[in-house]
Amino acid sequence: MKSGYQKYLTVLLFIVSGLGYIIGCTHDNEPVPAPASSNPVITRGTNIHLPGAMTAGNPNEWKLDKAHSSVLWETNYVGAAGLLTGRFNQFGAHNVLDAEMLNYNTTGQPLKDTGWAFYENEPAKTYFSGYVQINTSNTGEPGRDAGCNLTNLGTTAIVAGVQNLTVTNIARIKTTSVEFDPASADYIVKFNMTWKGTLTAPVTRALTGRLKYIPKATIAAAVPYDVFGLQFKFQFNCRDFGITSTNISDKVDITCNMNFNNK
Amino acid sequence: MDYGFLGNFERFELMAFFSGYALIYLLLNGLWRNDFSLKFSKARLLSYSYALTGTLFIGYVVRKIFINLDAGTQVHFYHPILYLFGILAGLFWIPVFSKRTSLALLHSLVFFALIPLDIISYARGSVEREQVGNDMNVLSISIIFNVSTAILMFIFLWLSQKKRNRPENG
Repeated sequence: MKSGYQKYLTVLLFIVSGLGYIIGCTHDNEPVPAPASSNPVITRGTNIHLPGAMTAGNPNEWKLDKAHSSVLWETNYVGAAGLLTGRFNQFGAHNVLDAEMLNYNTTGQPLKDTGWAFYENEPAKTYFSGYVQINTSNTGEPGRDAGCNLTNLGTTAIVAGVQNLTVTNIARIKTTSVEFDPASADYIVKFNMTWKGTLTAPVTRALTGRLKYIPKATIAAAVPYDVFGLQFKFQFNCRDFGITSTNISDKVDITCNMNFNNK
Repeated sequence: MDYGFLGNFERFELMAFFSGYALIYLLLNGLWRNDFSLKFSKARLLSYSYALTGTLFIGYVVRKIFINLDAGTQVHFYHPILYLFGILAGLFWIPVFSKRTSLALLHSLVFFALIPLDIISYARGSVEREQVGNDMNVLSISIIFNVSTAILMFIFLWLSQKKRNRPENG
């Protein structure tokens, strides 16, 4: 090949190569996308539920639907085996003051279930109080529930037609703070639990639990109404309250399933 | 031009072997001084180094065929004509062809031409910029590969020359 042509060819090839490198290497590639966040996507609404005066027929005042709610407990049998479970037949959502710790001659709720307020998006405003009547613990074994359980839990037998909210038979909880759970749509609740157990006087323990909100839904009926739910889970050490029975483990798990409606 | 993934892969294989030679050829031709005290010509070096590249390509093709046969899969070439043309590079061991170094340049230019074709396609919007980027990466590899074969061939020819120049003992 003649040297003149070779020069032209050399220049041409280097121009083509240079052009190719410039086109192929402009450093303006799309930036690498930021790593996906490991945080869950949490969507919270703005529902506000308040009990008000619990006036029947007022859709803005929410009522605890006790018949469809429950307070459940579970613990390991003898501290090592499977779960021993039960429920409390009588409970409520009221901030029971010392002056209210009495026997009530009624088969219904002895006190109004107005000790709560729920703000879906403002947990600082959310609070609730509740109680259970210890002697209504129901494991499905009447011999145990009305027998050794009474002694083990430091309480007295059920009297028909009486709601016993006296100090020996009541365990109370009262929230001190409610916060968003950053890892889920739930809420982290700090609260005090007060119970006498088998001790000489009630003891208060600061505990932490998890509150789940089951959002409001409308139920189709002749007169439609709304419902929502609150599920509160926590655990406590029963030895803190003088429970010495070795039939159960130290740790007792409590699940409160509270359903509300605005009928 | 869209060749599909495997078709593109084969193009890159061919370009990796042959496209860089054209630049090496033109550079060496431009830089080579006759006052080098070497007995072999640059034409010989250029032809044989290209023949070595062609031989390595033939080895690569044979290996590819045997791998497919071992795996019991059918051998399929997406660019059979270019493959056959690439195999022809082995002919530059034969003096008839090795004397005509410009044939090696023309042979290599066929594969180099795939780059401007892609640049034109990019300018017309029918291929992505990444295609040109990939071409240039492969061209860089090919330049390194062909420089290596040229160095190997230079060493081989230089050692051969030294052996021939050594005085006979006894």
